[in-house]
Amino acid sequence: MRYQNSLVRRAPKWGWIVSTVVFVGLLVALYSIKAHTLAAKAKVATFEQALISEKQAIQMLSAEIAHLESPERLRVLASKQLNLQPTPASRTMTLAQVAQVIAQKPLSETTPKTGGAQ
Amino acid sequence: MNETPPHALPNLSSGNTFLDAAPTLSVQDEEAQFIRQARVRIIMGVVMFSLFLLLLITRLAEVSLLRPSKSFTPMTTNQVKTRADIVDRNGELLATSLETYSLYADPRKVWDAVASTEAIISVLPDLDPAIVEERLASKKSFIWIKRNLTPKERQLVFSLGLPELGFQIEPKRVYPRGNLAAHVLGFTDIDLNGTAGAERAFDKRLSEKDAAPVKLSIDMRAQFALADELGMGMEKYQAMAASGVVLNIKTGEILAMASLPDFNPNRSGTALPNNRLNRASMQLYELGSTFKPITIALAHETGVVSAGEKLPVHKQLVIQKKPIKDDHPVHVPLGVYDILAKSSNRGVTLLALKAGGDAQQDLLKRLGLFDRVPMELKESAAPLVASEWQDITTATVSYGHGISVTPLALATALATLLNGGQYIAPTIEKHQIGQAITSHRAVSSATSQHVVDTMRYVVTDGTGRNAAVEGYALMGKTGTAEKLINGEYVKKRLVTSFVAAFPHRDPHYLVFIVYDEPKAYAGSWGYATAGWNAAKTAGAVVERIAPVLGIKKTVRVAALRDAKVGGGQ
Repeated sequence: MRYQNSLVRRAPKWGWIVSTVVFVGLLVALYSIKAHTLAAKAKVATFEQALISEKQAIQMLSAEIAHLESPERLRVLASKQLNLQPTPASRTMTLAQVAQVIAQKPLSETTPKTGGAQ
Repeated sequence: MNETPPHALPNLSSGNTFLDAAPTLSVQDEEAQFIRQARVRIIMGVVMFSLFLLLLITRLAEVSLLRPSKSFTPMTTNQVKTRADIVDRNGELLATSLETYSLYADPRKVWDAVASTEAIISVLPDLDPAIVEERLASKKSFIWIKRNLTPKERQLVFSLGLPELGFQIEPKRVYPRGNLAAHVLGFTDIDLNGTAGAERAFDKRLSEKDAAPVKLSIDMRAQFALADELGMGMEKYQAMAASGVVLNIKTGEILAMASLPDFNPNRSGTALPNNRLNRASMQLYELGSTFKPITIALAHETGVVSAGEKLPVHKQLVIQKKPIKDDHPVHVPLGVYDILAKSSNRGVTLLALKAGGDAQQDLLKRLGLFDRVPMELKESAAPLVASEWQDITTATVSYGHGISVTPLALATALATLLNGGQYIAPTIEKHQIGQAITSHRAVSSATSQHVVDTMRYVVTDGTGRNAAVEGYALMGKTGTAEKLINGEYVKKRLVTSFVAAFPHRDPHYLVFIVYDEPKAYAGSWGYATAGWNAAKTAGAVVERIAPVLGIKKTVRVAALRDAKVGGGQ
């Protein structure tokens, strides 16, 4: 009876202690999760910033490539360095047309008289 | 166990007499009193400490657990405005945004405005010292010194070490192809708001966050070929200005649109207004005989002329006291094909008068020539049309006088005549595969075929022979008009134009070329008419763009068989 009484008296105390420990534990866990989340967020922000920087660098390179590939620039270079001109229509034909022409020509005309590999 | 009977004790509940009568004993325990007082103080202290601790824990929990964390913002960057890229129909970059550094100052931190100005000018010599000094001496907290510095300029300013100076990252719109398609692309202001061209037309879409690039209908290769040929032509023919359009007849897409003189959109602020003017869509011209295919279509549509019928173009023709003259007079009556091939003003006047002014106006309306071209660009001028439509108006409009339209407007109308009679509004945005194309019928398909054939005849046997390109079966029409200056037509100041379309079997592309005041040149026999300049340029443009656009050349095998072997001829 006495023992039971003491248990009854102590039960709320244990309850308090367990609840407090659980509560504190939850708080610590929550705090830890939040701290980790914040750290991860900061990391994400850093990555995002790095991504933006990379994108900008790519943008810059694309702009440079576009400038270097600019038709006007290539035209000047091609005519100055390689003496190239736009191809006139008279010098173009489709592959099918080439085959047609070869088929129509006598073999002797299409074969060069002197070999081309010397 | 002996129990004391209840009556042995004084009955306390029965009354107060016993207590009243009982002597009182007062015991003063000082120690206990002190303990009691101390206990109270301790309890109060513990309570206060607990409250304080509770407060601290609550605050800590609130700060660390409940309060939403602020987003992470790096110290080095400010919020930068973005703008999507503009690319051509093949995804080639035409406009993009790059981050640059802009220099600002806090005048409150300036010790000596004169010394600071001298230092700044030493590294940025293009600035006005007076303005910089005035700004630095002001009481403001923020002033711009120079925006969009180059990396080299930024480094030089950085090395000055002036504490009042700072940098802000700002985006800058860059057009890496320079002058190419400048009038189509347009430009933005310093705050990246579109102010002209596609930049203005698609401003909302381009300004949206994470917007996809805007794909224009422009083909960079065709655009360059057009601008290049126009530039060479302008130099050769000493023209005041030139413009050109390449249209996809089937979809209404503008593949190229050039206007010379042009400008560099990277330095749009320094460009002259004359250079910024998009002549292809903003300049109104009386374009002359390139209007004649419309009259041919009108005659066929209204059925006023029968097949094989010849009209008396060799006879004098006077309308409302105004004689109608031909540049290439003939001495015999001409049929419809020859009227167009020889560009007879009298011939088309007779056809238009037969059809009537109302039918003519109706057709012009259906071809969109009474309104501004309905496209995305704001730079699209409304035509100048006679307020009163008399017989003389019908006559002059039949050969392209008395009505002023933009080259793009006439190109669109002529494209309609070559597209089975279906009018499609031009666009600078690329059509997606399967996208519906809005169109309306302007003329019958039979009329369209008639125009196609007559325009082919112009190139094979008429005034457009100089435009002919082997293997591409061009259709075309020349147009030479005198300019109207102060109410009078000036003979020596011409506007020449040429419309070319190809291939004849199924017209797919249209090229429209205009020269403003071209001159005669060595080899033109003193002529500065369209056949000697605009037609040649149109042919050269077709020759360059047809392979690029995937139009197969038609080669007569017999001709090839006879050709010599070897590529060096």
